[in-house]
Amino acid sequence: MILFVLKRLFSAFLTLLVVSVLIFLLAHLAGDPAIAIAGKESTAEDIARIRVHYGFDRPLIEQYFAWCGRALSGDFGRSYHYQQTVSDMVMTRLPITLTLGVSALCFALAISLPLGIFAAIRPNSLIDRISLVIAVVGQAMPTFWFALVMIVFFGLTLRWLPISGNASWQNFIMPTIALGYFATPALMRLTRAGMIDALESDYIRTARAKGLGHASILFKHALRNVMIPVVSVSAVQFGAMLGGSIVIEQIFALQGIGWLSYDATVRSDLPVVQAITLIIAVFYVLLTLAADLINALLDPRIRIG
Amino acid sequence: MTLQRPRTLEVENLNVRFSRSNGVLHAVRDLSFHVEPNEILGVVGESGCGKSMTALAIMDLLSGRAERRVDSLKFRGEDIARVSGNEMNALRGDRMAMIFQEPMTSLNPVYTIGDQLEEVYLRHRDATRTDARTRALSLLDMVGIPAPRQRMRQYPHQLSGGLRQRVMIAMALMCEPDLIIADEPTTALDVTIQAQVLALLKQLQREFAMAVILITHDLGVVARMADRVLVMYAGEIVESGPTQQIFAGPCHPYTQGLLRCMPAASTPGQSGARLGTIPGIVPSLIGEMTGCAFANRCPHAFDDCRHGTIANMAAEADHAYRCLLPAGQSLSNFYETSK
Amino acid sequence: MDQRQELEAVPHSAGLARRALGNASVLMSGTVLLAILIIAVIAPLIAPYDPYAHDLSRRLLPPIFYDGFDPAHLLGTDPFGRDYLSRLIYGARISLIIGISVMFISGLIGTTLGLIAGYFGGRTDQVIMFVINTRLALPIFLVAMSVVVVFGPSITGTILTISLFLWDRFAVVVRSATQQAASQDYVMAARSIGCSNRYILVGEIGPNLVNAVIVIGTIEMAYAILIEAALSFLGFGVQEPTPSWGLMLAQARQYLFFDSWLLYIPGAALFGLALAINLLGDGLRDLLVAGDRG
Repeated sequence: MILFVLKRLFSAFLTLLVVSVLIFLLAHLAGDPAIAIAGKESTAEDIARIRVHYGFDRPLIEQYFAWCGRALSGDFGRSYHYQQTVSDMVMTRLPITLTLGVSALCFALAISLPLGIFAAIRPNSLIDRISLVIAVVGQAMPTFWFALVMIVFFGLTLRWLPISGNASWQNFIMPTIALGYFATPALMRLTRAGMIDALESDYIRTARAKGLGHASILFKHALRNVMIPVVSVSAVQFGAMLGGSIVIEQIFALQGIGWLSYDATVRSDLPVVQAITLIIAVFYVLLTLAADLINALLDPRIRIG
Repeated sequence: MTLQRPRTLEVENLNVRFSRSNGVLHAVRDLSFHVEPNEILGVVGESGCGKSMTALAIMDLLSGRAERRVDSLKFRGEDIARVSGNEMNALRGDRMAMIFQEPMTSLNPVYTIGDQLEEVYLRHRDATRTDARTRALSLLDMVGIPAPRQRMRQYPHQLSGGLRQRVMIAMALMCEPDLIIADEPTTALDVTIQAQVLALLKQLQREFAMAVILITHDLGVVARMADRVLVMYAGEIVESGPTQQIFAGPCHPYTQGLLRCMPAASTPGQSGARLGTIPGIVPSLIGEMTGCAFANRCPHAFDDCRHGTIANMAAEADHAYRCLLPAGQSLSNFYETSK
Repeated sequence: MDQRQELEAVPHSAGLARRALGNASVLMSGTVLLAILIIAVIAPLIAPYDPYAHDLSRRLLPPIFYDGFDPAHLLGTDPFGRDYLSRLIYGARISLIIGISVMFISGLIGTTLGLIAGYFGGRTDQVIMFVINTRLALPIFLVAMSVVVVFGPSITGTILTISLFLWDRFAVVVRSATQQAASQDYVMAARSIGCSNRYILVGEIGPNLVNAVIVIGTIEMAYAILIEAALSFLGFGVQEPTPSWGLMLAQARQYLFFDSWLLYIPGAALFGLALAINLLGDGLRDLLVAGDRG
C-alpha cells in the first residue's frame, strides 16, 4: 500500500513538472512580456528597465526555476493589468469555482447513479429508456447553448432565477445544472454498463446461490465493484468541469477563476493565465490521486498487489 | 433411518427454454430424476447438453432470459416449484448450496474470504458475528486450508485456484445443507489439485451425510465419485442407473460411445490402440425434436428412431435408458477407429 | 459455462449491410448526416444569399415560424441584415470541416500511441500513459485560448489545437483493445513464425481495432464540433465574418430577450448535428462491436 502511494505520488509530481514546463513555455512563446506590461506607447528604455526588473533578460531555464520556486510558495507574481498579486486574485475567486464544480459533480452523480443502477436492474424498462434519452441528449448538447436557453426560460421569461453574478445560492442553480449535465452521460453510461456487468458476474451468481437478499446483492456485492471505475471517471470529470467552467462562468458572470481566466486571456494578462492553468492542473492531479487512493481502499487488488 | 425418509430431490418434467429470434431453444427437455439422501448423483454429458442449466434451474438461478417449466420439483418431500422468491432465497445457501466451475471469478474480489463465509451463516442463522467467525474457521480447517485465521483476512486474489475452490466448498457447507450441487467443480483446476478437491468433496459428503449432484463431463470423475449416474444428451436423460451397472453394461449407444472415448476403456496392454470418437455433431436444440436426439450419430439407428417418442426401457430395476434397442445387445467395435 | 455456449450456438446469419438498414437509429442518423454533408458541400448552390452580404435596412427579420416574417428570408436575418439561412448553411461547412479534420488527426495520433503502448507494453506503455495523463491535466479551453493569444486565430490553428486535445480516448481504447488482441492465440502464432512487429500490428491487430476506432471517431467528431462552437462563442475560435454556428450564438447572446430565435436556430442545428453523429456512433457500436461478440 505504501509503495503504491509512493509510486502514485511520484507520477503525480512528474505530471505536474511536465505541465508546468508546458505552461511556462506557452506563456513565453507569446512574445516579449515586457511590452505587454509596459503598454504599447512605452519607450524602448521603459521596456528594457521592465525586462531587467522582471528578470526577462535571464535564460529561460533560470526563469522557469525562479517561476516554479515562487509558484511553490504561492507567489504567482503580479497581474500585468490589475495592480494586484495573482495569488490574491485567484484565491478570492477559487471558492466560487470550487463550489460550482462540487455542486455540478453532485448534481451529475445524483442523476446518473440512481438512474444508471435502476436502468441496469431493469433493462428496456421505462426508466432505462428515459436515462438513455438523457444520456444521448446530454452528449450532443452544447453546454453553452443549454445555459443560454435556460437563461431565456428561467431567467428572462419566467423570472425564477437570477441570470448573472454570484450574490446568492440561486445564482449557482443554472450553472450547476448546465455544467453537471455535461458530466452526466459519461457517468450514467458507466454506472449502467458496470452494473449490468456486475449483475451478470459469477460472484453475483454466488451471492444469489447463498440466498442473500436483493439489497445485499445490489448494494453490498455489486455496487462496490461498480463504484471503482465511477470514482476514477468522477475525478476526471471534475477536472474537466473546472476547465469547462470558463464557458459557464463567462455566460453567468459568475466571477470564479474561469471568469477570471477569460478576462485575463482577453487582456493578455499572462501571469494570471499561467497561474490558473497550473492550479487547474494541480487540482486535476490531486483529484485523480485522491480517486486512486479511494479505489485502493475499495479494491484490495490495488491495495495488495 | 427409516425407508420413509423422503428423497432429497425429486424432479418431474423439467424444461428450460430460451426464446430466440430464430425459434425456441430447448436447453433441457422433460427431465425427470431424483436424488436420494446421502448419495452422490453424477450428471455427465458433453458441454451444451443442458447439465449446467439443470443445476441452475433446480436452484432457481437461471438468468432472466431463460424460462423454467416444471411439473413438480420436490425438495425433501415439499414441492418448491412454485414457492415465492423469498422462500427460495431462504432455502438457497441454507438447505441447498452450489459450487461453481470458476473459482477464480466466483468469489467477490472486494471482500475478504472471512466476510464472504460469515455472510451465509449470518443470513440463515440467528447468529452473532463471533459465532459466524468460529463456524467459518472450523470449516476452513475442515476443507484443509492451512492457517485459516490468516486466510480469513485475505482477499480472493491472494489465493490459488485450488484454495479458492476449497473456500467455495466451505461456503457451501456453512449451514450444513441437505443438497449440494457441484457444477464442474474441478474443471478449472490443475490435475493434481483436482484429485485432492474431489477426495475432499467425497469425504465431506460422507461426514455430513448430504446429497450431492456432481456435474461433470469427465467419466473418470463419475466412476470414482458417484453412486448413481445420469447420462445427458441434447437436453435429455438418455440413461440412468447405478454407477457400476452403467460402466459395466451401458445400454444406450451414446453412453457406450462415451465410454469408448475414455482412455481407460481402451483395452490395456494393447498399445497403439486409438481412443474412440463419436462421429457427427449434436443436433440443433431449436424447435421440437421428434424421435431420438442421438439418431443422426447412432450406428444402430433405424427408421423408427427418427419418429415418435422414444420410451424409457428398463435394463434392470434401477437402470433405465431411452432407446429402442433391447438391452444387452452386443455391439460391434463400431466406434473404435483402430483397425 | 454451458449457458453461454448454448446461447452462442446459433450463428449470425444477417449481413452487416442488412442489419444496418434494419437498425432504425443508424438509418435515420445516417440519412440526416448525409443530408447535412450534402448541404455543406453544395452550399453555394442552395444558399439563397451571400452569407457575408450586409443589409442594414433589413436587420433582425424574424424567421418563418414568427409573425411578420419576410418570405425572402425564411430564417430571418441577423443583426447585420445577413440572411440567417445562408449563414446557417455555410456554418455547417465550418462545423464539418473541423469535426472531420479533428477526427482524422486525433484518431491518427491516438491510435498510433495506443497501438504502440498496448503492443509493446512495459516502459513504452508507462511513458505513453504518462503523456495521456499529462494531456488530461491540461484544461482544453484555457490552453486553446492561450494558443489563440500567442499565434492568433485561424481555422487551422483551431483544428490542430482541438486535435491535440482529443486523441486521448482513441489511445486509451486502442491500447486496451491491443493488449487484449496481443494476447490472442493468432498473434502468438504470428510471433512464433517470426512475423515482424510491423506486420503483426498492421496486419493482425489493426483489423480488430477498426470497429472500436470508428465508434470513438464519431464521439470525438461530435465533441470537436461542440468545442469549436464553444471556442468561437467565446471569441477564440473562428472569427467574424466567417459564418460559424458558435459565432452566430455569440451574436445571439445580445438579443436573448427580444429575439431569442437567433439563439434557437444555430443552437438547434449544432445540437442536431452532434446528436446525429452520436446516434450514428451508438448504432455502429451495436452493429460492429456487439456483432463481434456474437
